[in-house]
Amino acid sequence: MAITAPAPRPRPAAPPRVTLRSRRALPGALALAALVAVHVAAWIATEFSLPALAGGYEGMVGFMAEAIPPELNWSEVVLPGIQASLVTLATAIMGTTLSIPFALGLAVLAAHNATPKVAVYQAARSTLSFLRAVPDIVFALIFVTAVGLGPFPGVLAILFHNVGVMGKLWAESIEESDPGPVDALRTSGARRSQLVANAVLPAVTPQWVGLGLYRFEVNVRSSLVLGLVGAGGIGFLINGSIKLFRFDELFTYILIVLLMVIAVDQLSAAIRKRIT
Amino acid sequence: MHDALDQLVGDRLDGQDPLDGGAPLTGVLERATHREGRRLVEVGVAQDDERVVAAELQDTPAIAQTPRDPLTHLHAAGEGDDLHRLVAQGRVEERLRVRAEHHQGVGGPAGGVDDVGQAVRCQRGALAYTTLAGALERELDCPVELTIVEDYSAEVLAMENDELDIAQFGPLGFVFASQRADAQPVASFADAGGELTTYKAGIWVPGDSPLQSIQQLRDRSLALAEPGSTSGDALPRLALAKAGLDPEQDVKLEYAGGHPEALLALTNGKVDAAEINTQQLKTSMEEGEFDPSQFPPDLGVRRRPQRPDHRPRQPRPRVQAACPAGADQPGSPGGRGGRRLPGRRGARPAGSGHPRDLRAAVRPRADPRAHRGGRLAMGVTVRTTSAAPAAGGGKQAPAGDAGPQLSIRGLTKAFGQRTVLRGVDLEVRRGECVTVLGANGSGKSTALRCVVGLAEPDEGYIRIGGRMVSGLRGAQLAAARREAAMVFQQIHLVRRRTALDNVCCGALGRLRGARSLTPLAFPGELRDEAMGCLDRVGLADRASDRVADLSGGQQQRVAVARALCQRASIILADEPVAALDPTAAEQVMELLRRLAHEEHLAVAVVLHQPALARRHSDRIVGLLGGRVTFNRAPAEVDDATVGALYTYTHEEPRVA
Repeated sequence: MAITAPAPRPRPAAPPRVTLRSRRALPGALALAALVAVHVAAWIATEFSLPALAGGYEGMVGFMAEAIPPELNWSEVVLPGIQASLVTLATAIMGTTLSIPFALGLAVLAAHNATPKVAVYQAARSTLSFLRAVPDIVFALIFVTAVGLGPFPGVLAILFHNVGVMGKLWAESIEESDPGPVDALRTSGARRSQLVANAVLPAVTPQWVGLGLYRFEVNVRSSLVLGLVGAGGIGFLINGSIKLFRFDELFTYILIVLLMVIAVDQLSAAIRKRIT
Repeated sequence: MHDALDQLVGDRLDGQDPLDGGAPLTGVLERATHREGRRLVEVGVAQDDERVVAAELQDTPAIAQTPRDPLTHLHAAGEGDDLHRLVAQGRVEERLRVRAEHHQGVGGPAGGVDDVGQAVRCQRGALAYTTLAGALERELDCPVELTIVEDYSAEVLAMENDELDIAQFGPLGFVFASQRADAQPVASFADAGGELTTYKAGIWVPGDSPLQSIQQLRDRSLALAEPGSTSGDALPRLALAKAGLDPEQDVKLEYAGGHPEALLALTNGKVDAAEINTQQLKTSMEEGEFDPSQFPPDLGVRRRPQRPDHRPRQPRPRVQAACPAGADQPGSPGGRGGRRLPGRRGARPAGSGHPRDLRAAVRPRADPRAHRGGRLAMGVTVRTTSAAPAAGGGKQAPAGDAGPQLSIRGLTKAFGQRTVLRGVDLEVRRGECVTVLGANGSGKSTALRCVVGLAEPDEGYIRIGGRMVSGLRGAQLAAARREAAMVFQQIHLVRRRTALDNVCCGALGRLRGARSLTPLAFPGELRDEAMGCLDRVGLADRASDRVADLSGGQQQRVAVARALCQRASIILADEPVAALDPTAAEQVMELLRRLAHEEHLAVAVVLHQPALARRHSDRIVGLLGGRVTFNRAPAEVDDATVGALYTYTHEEPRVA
């Protein structure tokens, strides 16, 4: 067999480096300038002032002095705080867990490498954006009108908001996942649902678990806020202690929340270690 | 929360002057309202020109322009959610408590702080607090900075630490401001007539409710707004207490989160009764969200008598029990009419003088709140090097199988400007192991990817098992493609699953339904078949190990087993040994050759190692710049021939 050996191509006369560099430098400098400008504007907009912070230390010290020592009356503060934090934890657990099937479905539809059609992709993305845009507290208000007061609307609020956030995080982890196993199964003739179930999901499971646990931690804190709209829990107690200027009680509640957040963090770290 | 209020009620404020630190919450409020009332009478000052003020406020969106470098901070807040609603709806008619502090070096207003006394009325549609700030600016003759917060707590703290000069509070917030920051009342909201406005709290039940009095609320559910709200918490509690009920024990109190939520809870039938203050009542009626006639009896917690012209137009709910809240509460919505405020200025000492004096006298303050043609290349003669008999397990060659199992002709493929394949011909017969050699970018992998459908050729045709792929659609295309299985350099197994589960996945193309979605549900026959495939690659003993726990060579053999489980007659291997050590590479190549020779499969392997190619293949095809440069038996391929493939590797061929 004859071998066709293509003639070597002549190299360009002058290395284009200089041009290239200047071509890249200009947009880079513009981007940097824009970034700086944005931060200057933000600095002004937020009235950021270190001197004010330093000069106002007395006020902060005064605040802390009121909070320390924490009020440790067992029957009136600590026990109710623990009980309320359990309600908060339960709200977060229910909201997070129940959001999983919806987040899973939307995440698959909202990942460009897993979605069946562009239209479906757009619809799923829009849905997720909407769910994220509506603050959980607004969902809580909506559900209060449907199911009344108490922790239940809080669960629903966390559920809906969490579908939006976790669905997006999960969709992005699908998009970032290694396409190799999917290609491999596609060549075997697998359908999309089979690809998702047998290549995509197993590949993203560790990230999903990690993201899900992170969302759980965040939801614990969200359910603190939801306590403010009648969903109960320790957020309710915290709000009350602020309004009544009982900072010593506030500090106790914060310590309880701290313990709860640390416990959740340890648990999720242990789970993540086992799964990956 | 109930416990927190309990505690408040129970000890801290028990029986004491709230400002001195003690009295039940209800008592605190009672006192607070009295106290406010008294002070209002004393210091609530309406100017003689409040009509002018009112008129100006109606037309003053422009006043909202507040300059920077403010000399005076004005921070306003309502009770909890009240504020946002008020601002959004612009229906503020609430008593304002302001206090001003003039900084040195600036010409202060002639009258000083006491001249601030101002009756302010904001019309519907106006941004209440913006107009308020504008009015203050005018009155004080100094720049005013407005910040809006959601809750009084932050205001009180800021005021306490000299970070806020003027703030607006509801009754309870003022109690705390007065207690902690020594805040003094200086002005309040009034209506167009200069009349102090007011509102009252009420306990409402549905029209068909059997409840006729507050006492009957025992063991019933009552929706309140939120803890610390004057009309949404404290006053209803006070009413309950006066009716002989223990708010914590006898009535199921539920905090809805705000006045609107409490009203919604009632209208949606979620509670037996709810707190609705006159302000919320008015707002809701205007919005058409609430029809008081459907909720007749107002079990009423009264604040201050309303003027008749202010009453709801619908039948007025009957008041079952009036709560004492004696005095004037800062009213909000309601008041329009009325009496003029005593036109007093200077209820405060110190008035005009030096800023320092003011600072000493007045200190209330602030609140923070506030993103590529394809021509045929050199013809490649198709030869069958070895027509090995169908051996071992695999599939029998179809009867009358004379042609190549895989046939590629004139394959052309460009990615954008870069042409990778320039008319490649390749044929692989059953029982034959063909290796393709070529430098990076010579198009080896692309050719294979075109066969399995991971890339679409621009020109040329692909024939699998005698069928033209390009003429097939749907199920037939899928069936044809399934005849070719790919093994990748990067292996592409699901690392977290077992070897057996991965092998089973090769069969997905012929599995349907829910049982194909998880290895847990894969049919038993499939698992048996997959086990057989693993055995053929010599890894049956590692079937239940996770892929991640296997060596690279073992993983690649599992990938080959997956291709076997696909029941493919063609195995395409894209640099299957590039990442493996020499021993493992030898094993994998040995396996592939055996599958061709013993199982009568058509095997094409893209390689970078000429030595391996010589040892394990029946034929070697050389690719250079997207064209086939040679296609011979290994013995006919000398080092120079191979070397020519790699001497010119500097750049990829370009299309002019």
